[in-house]
Amino acid sequence: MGADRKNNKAGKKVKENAGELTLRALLLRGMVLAVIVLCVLIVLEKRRIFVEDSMNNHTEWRWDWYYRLKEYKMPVDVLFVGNSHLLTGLNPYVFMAQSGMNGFVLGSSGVGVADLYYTVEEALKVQKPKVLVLETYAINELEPHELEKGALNDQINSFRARRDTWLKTKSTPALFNYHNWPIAWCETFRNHNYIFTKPDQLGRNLRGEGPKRRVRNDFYLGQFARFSKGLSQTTLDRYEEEGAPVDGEDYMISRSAARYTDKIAELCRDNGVQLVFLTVPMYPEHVENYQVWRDRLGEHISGLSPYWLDLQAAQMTDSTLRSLYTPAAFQDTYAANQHLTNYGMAVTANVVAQYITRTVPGLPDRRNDPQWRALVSKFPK
Amino acid sequence: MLFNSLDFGIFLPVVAVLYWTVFNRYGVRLRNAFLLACSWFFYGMWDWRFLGLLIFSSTTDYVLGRLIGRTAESQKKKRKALLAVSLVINLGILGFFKYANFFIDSIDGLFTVFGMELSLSTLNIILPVGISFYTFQSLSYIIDVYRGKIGPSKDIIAFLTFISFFPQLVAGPIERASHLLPQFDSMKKFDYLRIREGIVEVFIGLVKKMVIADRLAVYVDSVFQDAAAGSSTQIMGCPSVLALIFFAFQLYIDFSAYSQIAIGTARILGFSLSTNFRRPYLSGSFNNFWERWHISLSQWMRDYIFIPLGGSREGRWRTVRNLLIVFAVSGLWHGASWNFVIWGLLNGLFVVLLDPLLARFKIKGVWASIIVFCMWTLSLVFFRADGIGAAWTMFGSLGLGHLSQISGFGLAWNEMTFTLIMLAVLMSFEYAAERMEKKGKSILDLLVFNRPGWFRWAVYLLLVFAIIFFGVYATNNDNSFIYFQF
Repeated sequence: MGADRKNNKAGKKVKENAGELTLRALLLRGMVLAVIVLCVLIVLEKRRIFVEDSMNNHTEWRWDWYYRLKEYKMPVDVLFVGNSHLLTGLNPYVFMAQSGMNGFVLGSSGVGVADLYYTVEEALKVQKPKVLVLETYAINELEPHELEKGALNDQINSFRARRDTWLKTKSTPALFNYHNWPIAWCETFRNHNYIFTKPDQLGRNLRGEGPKRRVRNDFYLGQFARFSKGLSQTTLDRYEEEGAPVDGEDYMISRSAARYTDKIAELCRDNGVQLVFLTVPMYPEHVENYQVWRDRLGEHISGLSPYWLDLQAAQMTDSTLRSLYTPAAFQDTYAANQHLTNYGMAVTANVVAQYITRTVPGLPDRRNDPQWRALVSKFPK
Repeated sequence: MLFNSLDFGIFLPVVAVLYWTVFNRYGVRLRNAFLLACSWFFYGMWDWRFLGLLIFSSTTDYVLGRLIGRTAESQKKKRKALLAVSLVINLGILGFFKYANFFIDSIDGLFTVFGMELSLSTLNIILPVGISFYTFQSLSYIIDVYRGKIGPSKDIIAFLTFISFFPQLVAGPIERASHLLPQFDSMKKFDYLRIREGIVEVFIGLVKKMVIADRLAVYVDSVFQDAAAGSSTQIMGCPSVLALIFFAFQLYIDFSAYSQIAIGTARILGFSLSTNFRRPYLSGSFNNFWERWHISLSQWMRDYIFIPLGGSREGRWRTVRNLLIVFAVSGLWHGASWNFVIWGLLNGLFVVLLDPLLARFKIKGVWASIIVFCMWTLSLVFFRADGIGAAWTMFGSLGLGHLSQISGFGLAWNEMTFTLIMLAVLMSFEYAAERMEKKGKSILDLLVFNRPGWFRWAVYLLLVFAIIFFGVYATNNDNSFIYFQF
């Protein structure tokens, strides 16, 4: 009874005071509430409470090492950018050894050329490579604003790994539908379900024992060697029986992909960087009607750079290449996305090194530098 | 635009601030025009094409209402003809967009029964969001004008805003012109307490929707998808029973949350909407249940179908007939399929048969509520399943086996436990609210508004963080409200 009366009294007092309150007071209180919520979110983000252990985050490692190379005063001569087709498609160590130039691979699995544009923009702020090699598989039908599920997740991973906050802010409206801005920027929003799905991780993070992050200290150039097993007889038989899983007729370039490819070319022009297009191959029988694909892509990129190394087409016409790109060079899969094996990555790196040194003029050759040679000699074989 | 979307999170504060700082200061017409523009924008965010339909439908009823108002009471035929025109237009639009394919399928099926193959092809029609709600609201206006219960609106902007008022446009409550329309005639006074209550209502609604209903949906969708696919052997037993019970709660929490957000939103703008739910799962009879569930629709059905049919004045059998008609129509209102008709009729039968049995055996209180809830939940199989076949599969899968599989449908044990705790909290809250209401008190006043400032702030923060940490969002699930499909 006593408590009830007390409550009623308090309630009356509140109501009397509230009667005089204005819209300004309401907005002020709303803002105070928003600031409190924001502060809590910032603390959670700073303490990385809703972040998972990342022991194998290649995208983070790539940026880490790209910035480290600047610290070590090691200039990147050739910068490769692309999605998983490039990351698993070219061995930068082999490229360096063969070309006499420093190469580095940037990019992230599953992203399109819109994301790569901002990757390039940040990369060019850090270093000024002579050549930018853009792998063409990223020039596809994806519209960044329409991404969902895994593709959205991939783009967020790439976005979060970038370090330049201003560039990230600038790229947010271009890369994400505004519904996804909160999850792109805030791990608490994105991973709040860890409360149920990863309570152990959350517990560790709250105790200050996580998230664990492995820093890669071996000399890393951005590659992602995932596949060692080449095409099996079973898959080769499927090509015979079922035909190719990928049809070049289906290839489309979205408006944003076209626009951002143009913008990358423009960025390269403005920064005095030579743009080279590279198409990392899939097994010839994996793709039918490639000529249609090639024509559609060519129509768009031919005016942007004189250099396009199309290994998908070349392996079909060039017998030397065909003899190098054996079934052992390709990931054993019948799925639409086929990547290269470690062997295939080495082949591509060799071919690209030869192509660039032969065709692009004015590039350095560091093979006479003993320090550089010493570094290269320590590369993993 | 969904209430539980970022769009609405931006839209509502912007509209409310502009409303109170600018548009509510310079006259009713400007204020109403602003609300109308906002409402059309709100609706157009779904599909601009159907905005034309909404405008056409409401403008027609405005004109017809004026014409009926101008026609003398003595010219009954003319008044009736004008009413008929409105009924034909409104029900014609609703019938075309919502029921055309249902009728085509049904006629096709009927001929097949008699061994004749018509093979009629269905039409590719998109159902405009909220069409059932705004059509019924518009119809209630025109019928009330015809009956002389209210005068026709003379202000077209106010009338169009009444039909399109965004808080309740797409899923009710279905407002009566006599209640809502006059509210557009006067300027609103800024009332801090009412607005604060409105904001809290919105947040409570969001917590109910995003934390509880959408989490229940994960489980329910998973089980019913398997049921529709005919894999009942995998989900036989406890998971099916639990999914059905969860669906009963999901439906209630989802829809009542929508109504609560609608009422809260309207309150922020100084308007008052009708109560749409009054703790239906505490009902002691089916009759009582329908006085508490989707109240605005139940009252609509009562006033515009049940009573004109004769209500309960013409003997028991006539009453039974009228009740069954009302429930069948109510089922059909929900969706254009025989499932909904069966669901409606089942509920009608519960009112006709079960209520007298409960009274006969003097079953009251908790036991009566449990029986009503169980029967209601069983009827929901028809409401939820996609087709009668899927409903039978679902019925066939109900049982008590496979207890260990309970957590295998999208919710891990910890999430399941959390959901059950939330349901228990919600139902306890409802029970307490029921008790308080009987004493003429409001539970929100007692728990929140009459408490000291620090306590209220703690509650506000609790609501916000409940959504941030426990809400189901940032997933690829369809998180729209269930009643949007109607």
